[in-house]
Amino acid sequence: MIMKTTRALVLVIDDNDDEVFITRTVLSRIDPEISTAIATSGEQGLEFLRKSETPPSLILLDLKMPGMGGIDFLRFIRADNRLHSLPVIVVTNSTLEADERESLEAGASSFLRKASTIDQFQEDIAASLGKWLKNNKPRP
Amino acid sequence: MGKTPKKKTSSAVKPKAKKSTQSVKSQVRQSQSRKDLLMEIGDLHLRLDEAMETLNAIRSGEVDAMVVSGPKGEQVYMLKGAEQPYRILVESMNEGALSLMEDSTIISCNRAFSDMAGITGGMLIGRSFKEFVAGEDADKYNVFWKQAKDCETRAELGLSFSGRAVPALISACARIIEGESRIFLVVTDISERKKTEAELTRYREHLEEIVAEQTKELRRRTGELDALNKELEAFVYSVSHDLRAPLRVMEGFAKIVTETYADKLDAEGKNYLARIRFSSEQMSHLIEDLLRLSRISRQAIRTMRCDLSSIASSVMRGLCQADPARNIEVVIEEGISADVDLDLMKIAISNLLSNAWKFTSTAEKASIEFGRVNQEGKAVYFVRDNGVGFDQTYANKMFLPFQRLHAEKEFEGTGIGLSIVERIIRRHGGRIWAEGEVGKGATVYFTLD
Repeated sequence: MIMKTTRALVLVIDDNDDEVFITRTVLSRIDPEISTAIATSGEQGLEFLRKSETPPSLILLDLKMPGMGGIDFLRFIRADNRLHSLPVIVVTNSTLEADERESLEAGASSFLRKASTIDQFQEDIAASLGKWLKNNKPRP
Repeated sequence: MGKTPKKKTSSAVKPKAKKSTQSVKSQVRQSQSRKDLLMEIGDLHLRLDEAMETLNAIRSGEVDAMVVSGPKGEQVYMLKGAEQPYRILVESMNEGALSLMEDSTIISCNRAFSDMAGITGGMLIGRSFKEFVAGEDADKYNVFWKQAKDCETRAELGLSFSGRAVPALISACARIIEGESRIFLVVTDISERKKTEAELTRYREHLEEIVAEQTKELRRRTGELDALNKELEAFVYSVSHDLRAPLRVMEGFAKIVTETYADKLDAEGKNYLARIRFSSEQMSHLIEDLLRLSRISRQAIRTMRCDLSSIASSVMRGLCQADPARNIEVVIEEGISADVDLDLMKIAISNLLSNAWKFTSTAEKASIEFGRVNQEGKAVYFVRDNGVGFDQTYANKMFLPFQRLHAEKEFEGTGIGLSIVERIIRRHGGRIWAEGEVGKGATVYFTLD
């Protein structure tokens, strides 16, 4: 787990190092002041949430991970009193409608298909941050 | 017989009174006095009575002979003599014929029955018919026998001759002969019919077996298909998720390298990285198109009345807005509607018009048309353009996935668009084909039923 200290904290839960790297690159390009925390599985994400005093402003969640996947993670935190209202955006390579449906049913705030280019991906993430980080509006 | 039965039997109409052929001749002659006439009337009455008596006697089988007046004079017909033709008839019958006493004792039987029994006629006389009835049908026989004494009746009974089973249809009638009750039986061997029936039953059972087997096979195949579908879904998921991910990473890192090491890269290096990015992006598009194609094949169709003209208009509006610089003449026939799946039809029409849009990009005065014609009473829809066209030799190839009739450099696209259209049309039960000529445009036709 890597953690930077600044205002807005985004927790990225994704098991793929490369994807995580790209997501962090994109986040820092959108707003260099955003700090990111990384978890590589649902369990790690939960552990992070348990230990941290203040919850993150936003979670970017992958679906397919070894161990606890995205859907189970969502169900877990939606049932938790302290965390149930946390904005969680499912960010995935999956193009299946079934995954989107299941994610929203499990309590995802929104569902984002990873675009095939990094530029488009950055635009999409920026739009999502704009929508969910109301207190810490990122500069585009 | 055109003769008048004239005279009678043994005087007292006694059964078996032999050959009493004395005829009463009334010879009406002259001397027509009143007295004579009265006598004659009396005589005629007597003769009429006798005639009626004779007739009844014949009917009841009590008569032996009668005298018939004919042109050749009077002739005596021996009723006893009539037995012979009947005997011949009975003997030549295919059915068994028997006469029995009230207690089932056989008095006489014909050859057919002795053949059936495999016992000579003489050996059958005196035996009880009951002993030839199969044990399991004994009760049935008792009921039948009781009925037979009262009225003509028939029944199917199993007979058994030294263990050889013969299914039989038995008709019975009872008569009083010489004061004795006699039962007459006609026995028809129905082995053949039973065999045919059994065969039919076997066929029917076999048919049921076949149907059951085929149902089983169908179930097995359905199960197999379900399993295959699940496998396909897993595959599609894998394609959709796992194959896209590394491509994104390649593209992302190429971009990051381009930017992060911008000062260290010369133009050639940047160009190579751009090519990596372009190719991975292309592959991502291919995967997405492939997924779309598979989705269209599996998606359920819900048809309703749709206005194809307005779908075409809205697609064209979208294209024109995206590229307002293009100078295009658009002709869309009004009021074309059909029973289609709206979502799929939007995809199909959008693909066809986008193709027309794309392939007219080099035309000076481009024109795109959507319309309908009638061919052999069937509605045929078409999208026509005056773009680059194609070589008619390859007209069928253009509906295959990833088939391109133009170089990628000339016109972008993955080559899957028309396959998607073809699948949509096919799923509507329609047909699609194209006509074109290089440099003179193309027309894609389709039907919807």
